[in-house]
Amino acid sequence: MGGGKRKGRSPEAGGSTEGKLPQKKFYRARAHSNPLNDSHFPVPLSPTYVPWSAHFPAFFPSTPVPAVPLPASCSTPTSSPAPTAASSSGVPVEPPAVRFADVGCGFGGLLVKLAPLYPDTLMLGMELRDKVSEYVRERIGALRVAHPGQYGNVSVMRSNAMKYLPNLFVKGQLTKMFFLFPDPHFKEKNHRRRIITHALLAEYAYCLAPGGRLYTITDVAELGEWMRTTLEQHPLFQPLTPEELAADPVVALLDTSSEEGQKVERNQGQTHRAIFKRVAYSD
Amino acid sequence: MGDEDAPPATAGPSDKQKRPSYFNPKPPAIVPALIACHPHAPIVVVAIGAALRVLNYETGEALLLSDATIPRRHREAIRAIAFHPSGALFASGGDDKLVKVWDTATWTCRKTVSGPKKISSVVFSADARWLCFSDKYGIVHVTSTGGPGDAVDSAEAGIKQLLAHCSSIITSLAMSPDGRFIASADRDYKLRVSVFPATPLAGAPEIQSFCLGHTSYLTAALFLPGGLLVSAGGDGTLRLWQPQMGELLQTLRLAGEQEIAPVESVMSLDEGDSASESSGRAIVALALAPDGVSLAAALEGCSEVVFVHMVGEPPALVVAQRLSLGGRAPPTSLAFDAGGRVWRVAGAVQEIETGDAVVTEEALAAKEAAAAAAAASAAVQVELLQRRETGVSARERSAEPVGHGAGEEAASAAAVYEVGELPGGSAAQGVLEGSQADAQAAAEAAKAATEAMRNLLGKRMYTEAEKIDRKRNRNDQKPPRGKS
Repeated sequence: MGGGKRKGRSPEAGGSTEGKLPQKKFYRARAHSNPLNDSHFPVPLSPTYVPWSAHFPAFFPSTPVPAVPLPASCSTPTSSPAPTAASSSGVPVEPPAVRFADVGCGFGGLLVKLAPLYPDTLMLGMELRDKVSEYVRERIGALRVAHPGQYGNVSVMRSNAMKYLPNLFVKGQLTKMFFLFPDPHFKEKNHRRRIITHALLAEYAYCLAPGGRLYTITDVAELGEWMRTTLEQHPLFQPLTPEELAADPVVALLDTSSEEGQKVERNQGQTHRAIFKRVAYSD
Repeated sequence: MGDEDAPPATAGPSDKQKRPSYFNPKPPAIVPALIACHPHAPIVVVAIGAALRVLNYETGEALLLSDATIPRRHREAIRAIAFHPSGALFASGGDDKLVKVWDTATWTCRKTVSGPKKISSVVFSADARWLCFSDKYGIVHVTSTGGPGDAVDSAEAGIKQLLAHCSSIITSLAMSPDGRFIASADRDYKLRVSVFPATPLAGAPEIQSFCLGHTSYLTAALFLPGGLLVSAGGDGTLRLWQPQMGELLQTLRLAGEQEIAPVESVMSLDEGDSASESSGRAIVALALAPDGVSLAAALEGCSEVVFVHMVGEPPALVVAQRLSLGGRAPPTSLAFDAGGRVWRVAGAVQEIETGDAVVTEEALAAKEAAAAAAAASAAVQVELLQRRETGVSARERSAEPVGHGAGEEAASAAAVYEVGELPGGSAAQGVLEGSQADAQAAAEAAKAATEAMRNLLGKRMYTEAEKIDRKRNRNDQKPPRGKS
């Protein structure tokens, strides 16, 4: 992966200029990254400290007057509890909060597709590889310039979702989480690095509002089976009914929106989906 | 970037001298001595290395342990000990991955289970039916305590995963007094509060809250009788939390600058934190008094014990006394006994690391013997800090109370502690300290132990030069060979 084909090595030299889409060849990175390592990038201490206004300037007007273009409620379709963070100033209107998280967003294909579909919902892509997250940042920046008024609701952060989700999101903040074509980690010794594990599902359930949905898809049959059974065995997740699946407009995007998905489609590979919803805890 | 698994392929044997510091061999594991007191009876336990030393301090008599379970003894150093709040049960867990549940009426071992990784912390459930223990990979396991009322069938006797942090050493576990919550503190600055389920063998999937605010690894967490949570960290702070919401109520800095930077916005693992991690002293030990409002804390490398009280409404922690130990060994562990006195222990043992290679019976026996010998020859110092009942002299308060306006009041109302005599005299001292009661050696061992803790729990800091060098040596970015 990412062999010695590259000619120019610095993204700055050949990357995007303002308003121009970045070229992927300058942002190739190794496909795998050990998520269990100590991270050496800045991580917010808690959700209160995430610079959301820098990520979504269109949704955070610089004046704290409640002339907010959209009420926060319209971006929360379900009865998710209002986040309790950001109680620092006496702003009467709850600031908008991220509702969709694309974990391991890669080159950002899904985010770019979702952005016009849910123009009032803030979405955050999370990617561990610095070059790739930098590419997505450039891509979103270029799209915002090329399409004024659009793509203001998507952003990306270099982060490790296995370790730092609670540093970014308060309890029950998210309504959708995406895990598209995650690293399969075939070796049994490395199964603990998989993004869907029984223990980590507790943290995803913490971030998801009741009724929030968790989408997974993979082209690896073994991993698809692993993710489905892990989700089935977890008491806080339930599979979507066929009616719910049919009514969900996002489901159709899972297969082909991302770069990895397009590659699978080109190779006529099989995909395995597992879509679950967060249910309340009963002991 | 996540490629630390294998050393760079380009680094051949000839490069060994030039290898940067991150290839240095692992520092030796030095395990501090631990102390715990029975909540009601006059019994104190010191764990040093693989040995447990139990003393009835009223009679001065050493209590002998009897263990018919397999394996019969800890084979490596004990890392965690805890009494159940009732005092009926005691648990020990160590680097040999074994966890033992002891019946304190007879000091017989009720049950031994083996975890998959080295044990880092143990705690009993409020109803004493379950023992939770955490390991170095960040998993909290649960097992039944094997009481006579329990059905100890094969399923119940084993261990089950209760919850897990992602690849992070769990440094402390705490159970809320009402038994509703279990708190787990890790080295990734996180304190997680989970709902403790009615059927723990099925796991604890519901997270009540995350208590985020520490700017370094956590070293201890405990619940106060009223349900609030106190945590101590490598950043030298005690923090008071409302565990239901994970709300930070107060930060009390015991070491480092008194004033906290206005916004500790980012836990930068690269440079920003190096200041706080190296200059700030970690809190290495924290103990709660039976009155439920006094806490005693020990700071890394500091020959003093800090007494903290909870006062007022809304409750706040204030420093009541900084008791200097006058150059004696810095404590590695603290415990309040039933009478409200504080026992402090200083000492450590260096681990003989054999890994998992040992399999034969003889090798295991040799390992046990070596661990016992290491424990017997370890330097340990035990001391008692007792209340000064009358005549609070200003001289005794070696440092004035620090904190809010209420601090002065709290300090004058609170008991003042001083170094006291060990009950039971030299015989008792011999039981707990062993043959090597060398204060100097104990001080050195305690210092090495805190150093080892920092190595174990702190994040590695890379200099800019190291980072550049690392990037250059990455095996996935080799420049195309054979081409110009």
